[in-house]
Amino acid sequence: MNSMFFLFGAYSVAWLVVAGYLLFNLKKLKNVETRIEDIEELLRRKQ
Amino acid sequence: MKKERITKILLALVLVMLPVNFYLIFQVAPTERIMGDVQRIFYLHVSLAVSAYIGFGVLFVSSIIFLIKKNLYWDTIAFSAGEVGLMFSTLVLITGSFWARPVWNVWWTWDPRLVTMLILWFIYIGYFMLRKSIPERMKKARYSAIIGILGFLDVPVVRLATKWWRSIHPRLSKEGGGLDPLMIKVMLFSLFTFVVFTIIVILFRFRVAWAEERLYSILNEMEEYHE
Repeated sequence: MNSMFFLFGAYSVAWLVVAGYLLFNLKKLKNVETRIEDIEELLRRKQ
Repeated sequence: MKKERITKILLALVLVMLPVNFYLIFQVAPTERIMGDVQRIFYLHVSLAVSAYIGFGVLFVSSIIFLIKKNLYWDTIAFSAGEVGLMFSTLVLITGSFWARPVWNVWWTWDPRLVTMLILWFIYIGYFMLRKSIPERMKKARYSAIIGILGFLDVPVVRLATKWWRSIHPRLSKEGGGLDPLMIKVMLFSLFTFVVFTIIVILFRFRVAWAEERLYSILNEMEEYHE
C-alpha cells in the first residue's frame, strides 16, 4: 500500500466521522424541538 | 441573541477557514523529505489532539463550576464538551495509526504517548458509561463531575509523556522540532482552524443537549401533574 492510501484514509475517516456526528446530532435536535413544539401546542389547546 | 450572533460569525469563519486549511495542507506545505506525503497527516492529527484537549478542558472547568453552583446547566456543558473531546480523541488514535503504519511499519505500538492517550480515551469512555448507569439526574451530574475532574489529570501526562519517558513519538518543541518554517505556519493555521471548529461543535452539541434537558423537564412536570 502506498503512502497516499494512508494519507487519504486518515483524512476521509476523520471527516466522515465528524460529518456523521454532526448529522446525527442535527437529526436529534430536530426531533427534540418537534416534540417540544407538539407538547406546547397540546398544552395551548387544553388551556 | 448576542450568543447566536457570535455562533454565526464563528460558523462563517470556520466555513472559510476549513477549505483554506485543506489548500494549505495539500498545496502549500512542502513535502517532507523522508516520510513523503504521509507526513501531511500530522497537520490533522495534532489539530485533532488539541481539539480533544479543548473538549476535556471545558469538561474539567464546567465540572468544577457544577460542583460549586450545583446548576445542571454546567453539567450539560461538561457533558457536551466531553462528548466532543471523546470524538476528537478517538480520531487522534485512528489518524495516528494511519500515520504509524507506513512510518513505523505497525498500526500500534506501546509507546508512552500512545498508551497515555489510550488511557485518557478509556477514562472518558468510563465517564459516559457512568452517566448511562445512574438514572438520578443530580447524582449522575455529581459523580460524573468528579470523574471529569480526575480524568483531566491525564491530559498533562499525555502532553509530557514524550519528555518523561523514552518515546519514539515525534515531539514538537517551541523551536518547531526541526520542521520547515512553512510547515510550522501551516500547522499554526490548522490549529487555529480546529480551535474555532471545536468551539462551534461544542456549542452545537450543547444546544442539542440543552433542548433534550428542556424536553425531559417538561415531561417530568407533566408526569407530576397527572399524578
